Amino acid sequence: MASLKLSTKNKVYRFAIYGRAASGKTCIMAALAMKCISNTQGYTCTWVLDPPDLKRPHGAPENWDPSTQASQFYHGREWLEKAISLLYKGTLPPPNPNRAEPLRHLFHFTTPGHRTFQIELIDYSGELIDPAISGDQMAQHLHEHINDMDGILVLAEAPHPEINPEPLANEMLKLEQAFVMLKGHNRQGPTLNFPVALLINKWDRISDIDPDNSEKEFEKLDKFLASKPEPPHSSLVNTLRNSVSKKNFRVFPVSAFGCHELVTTPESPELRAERPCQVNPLRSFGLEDGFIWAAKRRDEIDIQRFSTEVARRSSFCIWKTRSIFPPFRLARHGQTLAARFPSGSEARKRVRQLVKKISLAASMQAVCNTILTLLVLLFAEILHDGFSYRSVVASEGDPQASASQLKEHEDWLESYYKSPSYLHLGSSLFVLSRSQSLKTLKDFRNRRDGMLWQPVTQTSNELSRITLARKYLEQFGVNGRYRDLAAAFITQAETKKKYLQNEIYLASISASIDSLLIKNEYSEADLAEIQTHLETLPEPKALNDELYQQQRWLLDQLAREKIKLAKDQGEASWIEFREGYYALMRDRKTNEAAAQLANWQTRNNGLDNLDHFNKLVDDFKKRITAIIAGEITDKIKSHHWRKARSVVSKAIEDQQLVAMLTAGQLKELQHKFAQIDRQEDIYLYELAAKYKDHDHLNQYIKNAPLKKMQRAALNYESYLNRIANPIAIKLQLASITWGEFCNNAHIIITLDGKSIIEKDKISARNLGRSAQVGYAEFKGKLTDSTILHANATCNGFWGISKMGEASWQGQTKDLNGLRLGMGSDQSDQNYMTFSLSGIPLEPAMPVWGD
Amino acid sequence: MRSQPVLLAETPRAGIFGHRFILPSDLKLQTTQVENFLRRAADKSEGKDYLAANHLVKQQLPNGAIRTGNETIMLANVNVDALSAERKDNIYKLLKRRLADFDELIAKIDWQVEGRQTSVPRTELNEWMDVAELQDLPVANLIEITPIHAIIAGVLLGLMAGLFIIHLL
Repeated sequence: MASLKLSTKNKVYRFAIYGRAASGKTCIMAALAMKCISNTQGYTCTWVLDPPDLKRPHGAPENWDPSTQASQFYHGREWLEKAISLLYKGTLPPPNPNRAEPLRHLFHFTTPGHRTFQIELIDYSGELIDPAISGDQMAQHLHEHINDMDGILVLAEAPHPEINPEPLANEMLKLEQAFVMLKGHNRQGPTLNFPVALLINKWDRISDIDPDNSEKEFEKLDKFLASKPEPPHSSLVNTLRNSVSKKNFRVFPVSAFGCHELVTTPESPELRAERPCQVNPLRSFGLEDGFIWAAKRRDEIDIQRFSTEVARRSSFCIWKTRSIFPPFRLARHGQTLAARFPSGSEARKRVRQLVKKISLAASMQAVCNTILTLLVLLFAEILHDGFSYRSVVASEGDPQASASQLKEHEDWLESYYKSPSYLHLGSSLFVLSRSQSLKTLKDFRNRRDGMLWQPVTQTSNELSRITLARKYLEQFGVNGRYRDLAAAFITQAETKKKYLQNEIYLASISASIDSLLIKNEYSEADLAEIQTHLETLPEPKALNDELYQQQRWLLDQLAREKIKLAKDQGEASWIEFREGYYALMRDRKTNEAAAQLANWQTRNNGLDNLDHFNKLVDDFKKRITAIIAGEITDKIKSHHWRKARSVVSKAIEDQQLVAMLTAGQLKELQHKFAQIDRQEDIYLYELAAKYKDHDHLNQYIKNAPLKKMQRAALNYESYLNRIANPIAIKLQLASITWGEFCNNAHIIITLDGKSIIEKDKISARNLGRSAQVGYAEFKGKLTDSTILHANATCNGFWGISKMGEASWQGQTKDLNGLRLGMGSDQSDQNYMTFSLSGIPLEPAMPVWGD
Repeated sequence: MRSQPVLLAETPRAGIFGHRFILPSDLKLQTTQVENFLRRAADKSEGKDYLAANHLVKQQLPNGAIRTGNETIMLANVNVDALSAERKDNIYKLLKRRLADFDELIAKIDWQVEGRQTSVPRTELNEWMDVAELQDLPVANLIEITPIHAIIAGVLLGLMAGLFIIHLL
């Protein structure tokens, strides 16, 4: 049964008054709610009529759901109000009928120590506290509720001196029996670890209560319990005391009325009922004491439990804590527990200290759990990588391993090498290092590379070779070792194919011409059509000498046939002239073509075939510039600058040719000189920038037509002249990066056999760095060839051990920025970095034009 | 099977036991269901599915405590809205007469023997139903819940839930 859900952060203590029918439960609760005389201990109690966040249910009370907290509370309020009203009239409250759900009430108790306890009490029919009906559903339900309480206040009424004590003794026995059964159902075990208070109710029956002297009443209580004959309460006291853990039992004398009188009613004159002798205020005695004691005991128990739990959960041992989850929830519980107590109180301080302790333990456990988890994952990864690597190693040594198997292992090795640094951490140390994985990957790739290339070289079938080469390039692309060869094969094949196409094409045209000649029925148009086909090859660029000659021969053949046809038709000379012109233009003999046109014009005065002649002249004018430009371009491509200029000169100096050009064309031709000069200047400068030697620089300085970058060339030459002479150089050992540990490392650097830097007592740390180790000054040329040797040893406890040795040979200027590894493969372990100072700065050779 | 309207009663005069429910001898209701009716009847004499009559009686317990408590007799599981005003009035009068008969009934019961459980089955309540005013009464939706019914209902609900989940998947 959950306690009332209230918005306040304060704990709500749930207590049950455990008593038989007519033992006074309702009267006690009513008295707590009514105006009473002050408690001798200064305790107070206030009934809470409207708890915050617990709204009255909607609708008529008879329709409320009795299982809800709100219904139980507000029904309880009505019941208690009725009981209070009856008490004010001097009448006892009615008996609680047997109900499935108890009624709830909320009270605020306060103490002079400035504590406030919110205590929830339940009211129910005492008839359900009967061992005989323990099997009843309602009785079981009530027992379940009570077993969930924070404490129990057992109510046993004091005997009335004027009434037969035997029924009371029976009642005590039944109460005892019922309590034992209740205890039997408790989940905590046979000994109850919550406060149990025995309230000897109706104390005014046997004591004339002195409300100002509670100690006296307690003395009377002790006397009563020790009296002879023994009261039935003694057995109950022993049962209760023995049923709970130490310090969790106490007896209190209590009286709701404080004093009573026996009255009769007209309906039943033989029956006398007890009534309070005074109401408003009631002369109650000791009402609050038991509750407050129970609440305080509850606090102590909770602190003790918390302390025990903290002690248990603070351990790092999982078998002690019995939980893999850090106890953050326990820490939060501790915060809630601490909030019960006033600030500055000992209890609060004590709980806060425990909270600190458990919070720290929780944090540490969280860290440890994280580390453990990571270690487990790491170990699992090592195992997994170990299995995978074994498979790789097996394939590595297996000559029968297929390309697909090798590919699979390559993929694994590649992903292993490329993976982020936080993956395969352990595997890198215990299974396979990343550098080794890269090396193995390269080996696998080379092997697969070779496997895929082998069929390409072995096959004799051209087509198969091309197909295999394509497949090889698909697999390896630009990374294949034989990519160039494969690309060359494919290019060759494609070029061959183009040549073959042209060859077949020319053969078919030749066959067409032969067929035409055999039939001997053709016109000039037929020949012209064939000529058009002949000049339009399917692959114009795939034209070797043989094909060119063949094409040329066929064109000449066509020309001859045209002339022959023209002769037959009386136009031989024109046709001959025309074909001659076309042949000259094909051969780029533009001057001769211009001369031929001029001659024809002169000879015939432009009368014969004038239209045709004009067409030829137009053709010349249209094509001359492009032909000359093409020739110039070819000469520039092959760096024949003089010849390129000669082409332009020849054209410009030819009057006959010039006469056929427009002004614009002439200007364009003249501009070609500047273009050639520019290209030559660029070419010579690029050579100088590429080689950076005197020859090329001089070549530019002297022969470049434009000398646009002369300054840069001169600067560089000056630099070369400077470094060709000895200069004062300072060589510095800028840093040593260590791959191992040594407290007293010793290094010697020699240059051309002469020791230039020697230093000892250097402290080397693995992956550490020693900077500015030493330097040497000497005079020399930067272009001199020099040999540098480095040696590092470690003076350890067990003697001198070698740390690394390396040699280097090159030009002195290349010492600047030299990184020299002293491991066997110069890849890891220790390496040195050198720098030069005092050397002239190499000038830049910018891009031509900058 | 839907049950018929029944007479239920509660008395605080069950000898040393205080309160007890008095029920028809063949009634198979759980005590919590009986309590649900009688709890409502103690507050109000008419509801949607019952009509009740109450009076105050003296309870004397062995410890000498004398208190005044509520004694109730009710006709439960009846569709009150379907009753005419006249018939309702007749039933009220009948119930009040039966309340008066309680003294005799309570005196007849050997509480030491019969009162050991919270519910006391008595044939008188069956006989009291056998009068003209309480014949052919409109029934409210009360189903006697027996364990078998609960099991069958639970199995059917479980099957329906399972089929629904399979359908979703």
